[in-house]
Amino acid sequence: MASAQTIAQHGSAAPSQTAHPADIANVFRVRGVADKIRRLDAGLPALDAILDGGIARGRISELVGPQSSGKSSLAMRFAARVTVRGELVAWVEREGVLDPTALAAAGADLSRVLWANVPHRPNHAPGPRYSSQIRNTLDGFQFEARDAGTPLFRRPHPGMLGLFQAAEFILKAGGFGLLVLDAGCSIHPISESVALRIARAAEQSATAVLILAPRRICGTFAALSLLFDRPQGCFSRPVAGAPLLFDGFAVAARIARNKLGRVGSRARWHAFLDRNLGVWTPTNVGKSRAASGPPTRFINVRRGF
Amino acid sequence: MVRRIACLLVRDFSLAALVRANPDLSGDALALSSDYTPNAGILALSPKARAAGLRPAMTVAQARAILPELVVVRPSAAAEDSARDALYDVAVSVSPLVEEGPPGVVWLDAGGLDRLFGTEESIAAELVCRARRAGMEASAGIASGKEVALMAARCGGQRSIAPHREQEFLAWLPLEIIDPAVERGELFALLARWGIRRLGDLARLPAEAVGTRLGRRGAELARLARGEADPAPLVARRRAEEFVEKAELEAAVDSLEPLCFVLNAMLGRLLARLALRGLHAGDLQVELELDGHRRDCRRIALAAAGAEARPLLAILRIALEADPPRTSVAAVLLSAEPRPARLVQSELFAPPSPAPSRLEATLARIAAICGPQRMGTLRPLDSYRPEAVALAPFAPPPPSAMPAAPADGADTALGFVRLAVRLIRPAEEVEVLCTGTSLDFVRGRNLGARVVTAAGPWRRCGEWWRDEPQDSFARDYYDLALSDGGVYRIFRDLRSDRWFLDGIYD
Repeated sequence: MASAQTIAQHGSAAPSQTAHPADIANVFRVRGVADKIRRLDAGLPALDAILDGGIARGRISELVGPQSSGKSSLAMRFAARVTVRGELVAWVEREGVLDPTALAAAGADLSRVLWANVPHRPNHAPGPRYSSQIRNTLDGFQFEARDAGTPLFRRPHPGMLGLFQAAEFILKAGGFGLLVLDAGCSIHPISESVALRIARAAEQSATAVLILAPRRICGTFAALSLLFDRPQGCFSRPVAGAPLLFDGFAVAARIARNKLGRVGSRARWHAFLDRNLGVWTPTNVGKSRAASGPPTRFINVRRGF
Repeated sequence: MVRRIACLLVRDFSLAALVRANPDLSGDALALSSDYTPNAGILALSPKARAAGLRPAMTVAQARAILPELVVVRPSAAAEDSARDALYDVAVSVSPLVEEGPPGVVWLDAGGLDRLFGTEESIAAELVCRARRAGMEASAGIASGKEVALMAARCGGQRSIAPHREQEFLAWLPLEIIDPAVERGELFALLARWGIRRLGDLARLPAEAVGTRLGRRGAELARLARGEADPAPLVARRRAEEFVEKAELEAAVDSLEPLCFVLNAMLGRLLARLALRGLHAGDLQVELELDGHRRDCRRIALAAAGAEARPLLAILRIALEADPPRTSVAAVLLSAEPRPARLVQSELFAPPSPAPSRLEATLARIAAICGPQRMGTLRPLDSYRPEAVALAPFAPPPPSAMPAAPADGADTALGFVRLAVRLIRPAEEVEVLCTGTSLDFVRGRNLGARVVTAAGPWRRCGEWWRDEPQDSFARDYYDLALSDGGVYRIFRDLRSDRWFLDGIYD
């Protein structure tokens, strides 16, 4: 009864209150808050700043870079940030390379991560139909030229079909916060129809789709393409004369495509092995780890790349 | 308190079981016969065949002379077993106390069901509806006793006889409603000679005189005609929760496509039965009876319980394609392990999560693409081996409105990310060219590059305490920056002195 009275009092008092300008500002600020909720942040200030808060939900984002560029580490960071919010993550890949130890070390709750390893050639996936490909080429079908001179047709690679089928099933189930699609070493661009289906399903389910690939494979359907540069490896000696140790990468990435914000911005961060996280600080990155010992040589492996 | 008993009846049960197994036959004029020969007698007829003037005990030749498009079928024990189980499932899905009667008849305790389904007419309608979902056309009757309920069901449709109004209901019913077999018996002929054709006529006769003239069976018939309460209690026997569907094939099948067609229909019936009980299908077991009296049994583990036939059929097809039966298949037995449907109560302020039923269907579909052994939740094992990983079924905890605090707060403040390794499972053997103790070149299946920087080695060895010597391991690990731009983790197996590529830092 008391609560009913309280409600009645509030109800009668509310219309008589004069709206303060600050309250009106808060109302308009809600839209900005909603936009932030629709973003998944990485927890890296430099990266989140250029992404306007993170990758967008309901859109396709591509992390594009060669191997050992740090894109898997960043994807695991996103997955960890999603699971600590209580949301689910799906990690679909082709090569079975996901390391659960690294994912757990990144802070992810493994019980909220669905892992699926789609084989290169699913049993019911159609095999390559060379005759139809040639016919399509003669009809003016789009194709790109690879470095080796082999024509690369803009149609789904047979092994990729299962990957995107699984992705579409997950997106249609709904309720996943993040879907990571690891295309592995495949440089085959996916067809427009497949990319369109994935983009539509992502939008309907409000799931952020993160695609890891060595090249841009989603074309115009990717809302964001983050290009990773060749990394700088960090090797060091704990003490003089000790064996060399690999510490991690200095990662650099730039936005090559962004439908929702700026293009061309760059961000740098570091990806370090778990055992070295307690050793490195922002002040000594790039310097020798043996600060207290005799000076040792810091090797930058960029010269070899 | 007046007890209320419901009876669910499937008329011409053998024929109904065949129609359930072959739904395409449902619109045809059917005759059940023990043989296809012209002189074989007809045991049962479908309503369409009866409407054409056919009667049981005709020969197949006589029936075909009247109705040329008559389809003659033989009874199938497998189909009847499955239909009997399905009828029991229908009854158990409505009431926990169920007694199985002769084929095609089940009684169930209808007392107290009005709280679930409303009126008794609604209970009877629900029974008929569920039987239809299980693939059978049934009728239902509710009364105070088993016999009256059965007679009410024999009248067809759904019928509820109010307490103490049994005699009023029975008075105008023909005698053969008590037992269709009476129609061909001596007792029926005697009663017909007396001019007694309805139960009301029989009820008006003096009870003692009927007992004296007609014996025990006659007295029993008279008691039933008067609608007196049936003293027989409901004997409910709980059956084991087995969900089995059997099919005997008319002609042995020797290719996968028709076999999958049969399996698809069986899966549909099995899932309909499970759905009646609020269950989903877990691990599947397929038993194929092959030509030459051989059996092929296989168990197919599912990553997640499923309630849709299509993804389960895809899994069955994949399993059969991987290891096809040796010879042609004559009969199929399909059973599913019942699993409870996963129920999750969502919270208003918790993050969204997929509906359990949709999640299970999705998991089953993904399992159909990649196989159940390639999906789930990965968990690192408590082992010294870096590659030790276990795969568990994906069963996420319910979403919480109070999410856990980020464990990587320190990393966030420093702008660090933990470096990940892309594992290569199993480790790929490579060739490493060395000069003295320094590593110069690495060559493998998709790899061939100069070593720019090498870190290591550090040694990992363990599990030497195991009984089998091959279970132990001893490795020297290296981190190599190669000229192709990648940083690789390789190890040298100290036992075999071979090199393996273990992972790529990314």
